[in-house]
Amino acid sequence: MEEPRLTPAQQRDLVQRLFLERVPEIRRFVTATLPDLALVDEVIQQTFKAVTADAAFYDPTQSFTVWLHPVVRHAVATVGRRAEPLSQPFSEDVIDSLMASRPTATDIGALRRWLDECVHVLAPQARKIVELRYRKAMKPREVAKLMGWTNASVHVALSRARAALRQCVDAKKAALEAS
Amino acid sequence: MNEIRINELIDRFFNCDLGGADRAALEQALLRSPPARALFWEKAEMHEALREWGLEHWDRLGQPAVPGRRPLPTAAVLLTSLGRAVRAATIPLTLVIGSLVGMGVAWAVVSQVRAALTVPLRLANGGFEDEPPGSIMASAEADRLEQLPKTFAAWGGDRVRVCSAEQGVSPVEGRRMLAFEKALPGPGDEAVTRADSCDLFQLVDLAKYRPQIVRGGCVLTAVAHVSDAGPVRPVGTDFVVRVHVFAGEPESVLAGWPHTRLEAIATGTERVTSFGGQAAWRGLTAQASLPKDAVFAIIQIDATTIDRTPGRPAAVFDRHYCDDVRLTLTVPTSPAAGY
Repeated sequence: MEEPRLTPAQQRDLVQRLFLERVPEIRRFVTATLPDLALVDEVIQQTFKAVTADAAFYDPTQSFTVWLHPVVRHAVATVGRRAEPLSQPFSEDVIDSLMASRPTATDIGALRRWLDECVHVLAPQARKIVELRYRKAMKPREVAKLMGWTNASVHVALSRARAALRQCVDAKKAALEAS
Repeated sequence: MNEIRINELIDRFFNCDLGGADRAALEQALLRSPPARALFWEKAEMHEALREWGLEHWDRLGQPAVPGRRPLPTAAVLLTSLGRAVRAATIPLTLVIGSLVGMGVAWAVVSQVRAALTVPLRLANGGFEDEPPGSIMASAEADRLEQLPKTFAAWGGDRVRVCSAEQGVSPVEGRRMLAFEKALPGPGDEAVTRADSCDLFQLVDLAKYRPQIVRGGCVLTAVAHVSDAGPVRPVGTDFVVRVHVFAGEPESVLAGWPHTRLEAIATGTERVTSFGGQAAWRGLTAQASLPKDAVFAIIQIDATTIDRTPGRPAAVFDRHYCDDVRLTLTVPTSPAAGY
C-alpha cells in the first residue's frame, strides 16, 4: 500500500527538522570548503532558505543527506563568490569530489575537547593568532594588520600552530587508547 | 605534485592565501588524486575543530546571547546591509539576511561569531490577507467581551477589522491590513466602561522546536508594523507588541487570562507612543529568550489609549492600523549550544 502523501506544510516541517538535525555536519563541511569563516553562517542560512523553498521536491523515502548535498554545494559556491579571490571556495566540481570522499567517522567532539588543553602548549603569540583566526573569524591578512606582522609570518604561524595542535591531540588520543 | 607541496597548498587554502596557478594546481590534485583528498580531509579536521573550539569559547566568554534587536528591514535594505556586513569583517558585526517573499521566510539577525540560524515560524494570517475587507476579525461575543483565541494559529482579541488601503494608508505587504477599532473588557473585568486597549492575540505552538529549545539560547522574535493615521490629538496611543512564553498548558493559561500573564516564564515587549498624524508604518520588535521548558507562546499586539481620565468610555481607535506580523525563532548552532 502506498504511503499517504504529506501535505506541503508537513513536508516543509519534515525538511526543516531534518536540516536542523544536521546543522553540525553542514557547518563542518562548509567550514572546510569555504576559508572565509565569516561567511559560513550565511551559507547555512541560505541553505536553510533553499531547502525550505524546495521542500516539496524532497522524497521522504530517499536519503535527506544525498538530497541536501547539491543545495549545500550551490550555497557554498554562491556565497563564496562574494569572498575575496584568495578566500574563495573550490570549484563546484572539486566540492562534489570532496563531498564524495569525506570520511564519515570523525570524532570532532573529542578533538575539540583535547584542543582545550592543547591550545595552552602553543607559544603566547601563536595562541593569540589562533584565537583571532578561529574565535573571531578574522582572515589571516586582518590578523597580520592587527598584530603588525607580515602576512607571510601569520600564514607560517597558523600552519605551524595547526601542525603542533595535531601532534598534541594525536598524542592524547594515543595515550587514551593505550590506557 | 608531491605530498609536501599539496600539504603546503592546503594550508594556504585554509589561510585564505590560495589563488591563481597554485589554486588551479591544488584543484587538479584534489580532483584526480584520492590521497590528496584524504590529506585534505585530515587537515580539514583540525581546521573544523579549531573553528568549533573558537565558537564554543566565544559563547563561554559571555558574548551577547541575544542578537541585537532591530526593526524589520525591507528586502532592499536587507540586501544592502548584507553586502556591507560581509565586507566589514574585522569587527563583531551583524549579518542581516534577506527574505523569501511569499514563503513565510522572514529575516535573520545572525551574529558573525556566535553561530545562529533563524527559522521563520508559522503565524497564521500574519498579513491579514486571509479574510475579506470589512470582516470583523476576532469578533467578540456580541461586541461586548474580548475573546482570546481557543486554538493555535488563529487570531483572537478585541474588535478589529480587516481593510484594504484607506485613509491614505496602504498595506505594508499584500492587499490587506488590520484596523484597531474598539477596546472591549476582558472576561470577568468589572471596569467594563473603562477598557483602554484593543488587543490582538495569537497562540504559537513551540512543541516542534523542543529539540532546539532544550539546548538553550533560542530567541523568539515577533515583529509587527503599526500606523496611526488618526488626527493629531493631545492624548496619545501606545502601540505595543509583546511576546509571552509559557511552560504549562495553554488551556489553563487562557482560562485565567489576564492574571495568568504573570505565569509567563519569559517575556519581551516593545512599545511606541503616537499622538496621531503618523500614517507612515513603524516596525515594533519584541524578543524573548526562551527558557528550556518553553512550550508555547502568546503574541499580543495592542493599541492602548493613555487617557486615564476616570469614568471615560471604552476607548475607540480612529485610523489605527497594523500589518505584516512575523515571527521567527533564532536557534544557536554553535558547539556550546549542544550542536
